[in-house]
Amino acid sequence: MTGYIVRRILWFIPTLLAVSLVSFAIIQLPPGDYLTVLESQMGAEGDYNPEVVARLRERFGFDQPFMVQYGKWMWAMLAHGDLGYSFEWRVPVSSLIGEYLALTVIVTAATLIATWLIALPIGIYSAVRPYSIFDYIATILGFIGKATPNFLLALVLMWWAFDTFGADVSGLFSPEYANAPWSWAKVRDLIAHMWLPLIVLGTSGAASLIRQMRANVLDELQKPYVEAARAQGLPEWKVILRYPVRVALNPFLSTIGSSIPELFSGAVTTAIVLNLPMAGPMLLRALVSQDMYLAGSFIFLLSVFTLIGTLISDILLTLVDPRIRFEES
Amino acid sequence: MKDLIRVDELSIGFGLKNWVIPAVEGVSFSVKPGETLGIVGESGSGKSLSARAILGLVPPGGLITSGSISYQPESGDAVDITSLPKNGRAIRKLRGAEIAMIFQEPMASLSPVHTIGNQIVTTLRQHADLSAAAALSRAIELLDQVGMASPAIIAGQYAHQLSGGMRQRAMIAMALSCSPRLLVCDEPTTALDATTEAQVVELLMKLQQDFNMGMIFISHNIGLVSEIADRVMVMYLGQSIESGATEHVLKSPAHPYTRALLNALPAFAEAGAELATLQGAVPDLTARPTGCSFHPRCAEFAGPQCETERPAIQVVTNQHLARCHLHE
Amino acid sequence: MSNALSHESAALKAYAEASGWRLGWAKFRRHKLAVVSLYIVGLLYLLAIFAEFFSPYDYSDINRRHVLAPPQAVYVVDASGQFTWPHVRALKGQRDPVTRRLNYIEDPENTFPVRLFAPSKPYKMWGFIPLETRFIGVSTPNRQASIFLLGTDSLGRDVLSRIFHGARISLSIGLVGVALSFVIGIILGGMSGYFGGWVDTIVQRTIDLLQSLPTIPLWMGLAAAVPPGQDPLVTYFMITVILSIIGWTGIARVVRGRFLALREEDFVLAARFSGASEMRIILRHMVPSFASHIIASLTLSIPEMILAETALSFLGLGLQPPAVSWGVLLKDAQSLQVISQAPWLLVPGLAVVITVLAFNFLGDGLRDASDPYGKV
Repeated sequence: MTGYIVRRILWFIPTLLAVSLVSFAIIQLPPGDYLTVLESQMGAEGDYNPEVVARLRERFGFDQPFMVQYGKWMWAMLAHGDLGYSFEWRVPVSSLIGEYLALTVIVTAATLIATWLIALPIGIYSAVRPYSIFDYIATILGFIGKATPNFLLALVLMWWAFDTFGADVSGLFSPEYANAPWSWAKVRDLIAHMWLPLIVLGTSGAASLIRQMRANVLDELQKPYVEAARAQGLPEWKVILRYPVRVALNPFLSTIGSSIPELFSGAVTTAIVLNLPMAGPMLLRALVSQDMYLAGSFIFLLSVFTLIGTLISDILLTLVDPRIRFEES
Repeated sequence: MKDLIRVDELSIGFGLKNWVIPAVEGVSFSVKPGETLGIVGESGSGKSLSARAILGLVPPGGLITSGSISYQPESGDAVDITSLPKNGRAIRKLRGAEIAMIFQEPMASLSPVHTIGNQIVTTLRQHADLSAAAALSRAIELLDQVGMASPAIIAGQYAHQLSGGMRQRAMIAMALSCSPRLLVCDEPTTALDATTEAQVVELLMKLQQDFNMGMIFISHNIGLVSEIADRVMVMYLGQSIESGATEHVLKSPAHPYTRALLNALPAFAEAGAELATLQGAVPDLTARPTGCSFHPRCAEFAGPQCETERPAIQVVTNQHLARCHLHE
Repeated sequence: MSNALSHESAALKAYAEASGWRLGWAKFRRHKLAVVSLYIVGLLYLLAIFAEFFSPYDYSDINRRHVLAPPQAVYVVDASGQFTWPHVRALKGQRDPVTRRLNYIEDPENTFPVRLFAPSKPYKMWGFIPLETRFIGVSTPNRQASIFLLGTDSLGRDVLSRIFHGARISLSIGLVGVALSFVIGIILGGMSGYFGGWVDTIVQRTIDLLQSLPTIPLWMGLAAAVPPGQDPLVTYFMITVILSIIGWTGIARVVRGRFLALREEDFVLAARFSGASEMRIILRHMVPSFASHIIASLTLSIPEMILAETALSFLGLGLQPPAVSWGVLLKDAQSLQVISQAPWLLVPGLAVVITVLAFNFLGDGLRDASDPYGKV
């Protein structure tokens, strides 16, 4: 088992390298660079100064080949934690994105937990009482939840809340806390604002988790060991929770890995619609204005968080499932 | 001595949309403490279903349509298991504690994600007020009793780490954990190879004596049953077609089906003769033949009444019953 | 006995010859929801193909007298309570004295009967077939007559007509994107499964990597690289390419899994022993035996592509106006102000949900039907 975990962690390193390369390549793709944007701006304002542009070009190494630029970026990141410079905000990227990424991770993690708390009992109940009215309702809601894009759900809920409460429920903080330093009151304010992004982000994930859990438990309920557990005189709830549910949890745990990328994806669009101070709106803006180090850092770090999430879920799975645990050793 | 379990005219059917398909029809048998009843039949004969009914474990869709199953506890009045609520408290107090069951596939019948010890402990603590530590040491004791070489290690292992024979021993240990008075074995050796089968059967017989349990041993193998059982019941398409003391049934089988089963065994066939095979296959429950259910495959077909008239149970000799027109 | 046996084997032969396809179809038909979804998908594509004909208006017709007009209901009861021919009521604009906003109310006195195959301004189907009839319209073509069944947008363009036109891009991008992903997936997945070894390792690791990355940020990054102001057709193909670059992994997994399973099957071995060439084995024996399964997986990938295009266009990184797709239409409904004033601008979202649902059910049905070991 330890061997497997060590190998899994070692594998993480080349993966990180590959991801950084992909992120850097993506932001290098657009024709031109930030300085072309700047040049046209300067041109429009009539104070075009080729000398300034040339100096900037040299400073950021835009005239060098791709691999050299990538190497510089990676080296600065590894050596000094320097993610580059945001042209648009005129500050180092690392001083800019910390809070946005932290909020993204917090909201995503909270969604993951909420999804589980909702999806597990519903999935189990649906499996134990298949084809009941409850099961049908859960199935239908699940399908619709899966088919509705995050941003659309966000729009509809935002409109509904506005219609019902007459208030704009977007954002993660009340205006008085938005730029305030962190305090308990601000945390409480955050929690009070979190319900909408939680519902929006959680719905599609919960929908597929319910379906998966239902199918898994339904499968397990047919297995002879369930009958054997009944024959031991265990009460029905214990028979179900202790055996089939426990077994069904394993494939279910492995789905965390695949749901994390989806959650981060969803978090980006949802944050844009709901105007949340998370990675999404900043990334979009950086992409549009070709603020390449900022955009690249967002893409890279979002991917890294996803990979870490997947890594944790893989390790959890090995710890929980004796079959994997022993096969690998 | 009083019967431990007494099944009377038990019928079980499966409901389809508008009609009920009978899977067990009017089956009666009984088991005394220390006695072994063997139930023989091909798949679809209703032997497993009858046995499960004793534990109140008729699968979903199945329904006990008539008859009774009365169990005689150590003290007090007999209880009719068919009248107990499904998975209710009363039947659960019997399951595992007084009536235990061993299943066909030990691998599939053990939880894949719990250790053997953990599973035995769960059963123990369900029925007895034991501390976790006491339950574990009892579990190890039980594993020792079923002949495991290093019981303490086995207790910490998972089903997939054990061999087929060891798994079945673990199942047996679990079944015996609360010293049941009746043990129902549903084809306990089918999934095992011949050597392991012999060992497990020997173990079961020894344990039965040690615990003075009543035992119901279900198998499709009449040869195996004849080694273990005091009495035998042969089932075909949900009916008991012959029953009696093992030596009577083996020496002078009264039903052509029993004869056919025996002739297919090397040990019972006449020396030098070709082994007989039973022609045809068991018909589907939904397509039960008219008259005697066995007539399309019967080698001793005795005329039109076999096709049209259902044979009633006939007494062949004392305690030896058969359901065949030949004995009218 | 021998007679019965030959009878039986004849039946078996017929069963075998009834080919996977026909058996699969029989199984598929039992999946009611999937059959209904098949009809819905068919209808959607029909509407998209003949969008000009089914639309009451030209999708780009600007109507300054009806800006952000609400959907008009079709009435079958007139103002006096009598049943009449289905009709719509004229919209009267009224400026709110306080907010200065233009509100529309329906005038029960001024009604226009709804007509099927109504005459219209001349237009060209597919840009070259001149027609003067539309599927639905109002029969009195005067300045007040209008039939905006789903309302109008901020330029007074008919939302229903725009949804029908948007379906062309939204529905086709799913097909084109999946076709492209399929080509990449079958080449890489097939190689991976057929050759095994290091080829397999590289492809599998790439798939692992791509599947553990959040797709939307990657898509956003790639889409931002598409130079703006191009021919919409070029943008369209670049967007499909972007979707497929990340979307091929699922299909490759399925293809590889099938190849691995089939490589060991007896009939492939038999073909190899009888001296068939590798290519012939793949084409003649392996591909047909998993085609149905692949079709099911492809069907399930189409909605993902549709959702991705919608999200990208919604964010302004995909197709740009004047091109219309459902995502482009939803972009108009981005702010709370607009939605609270004109919630009907969210209707294209309903089209997305219905389409995705229908494809999901259809895919589920096809997958069940393509499982050779599933219950008949």
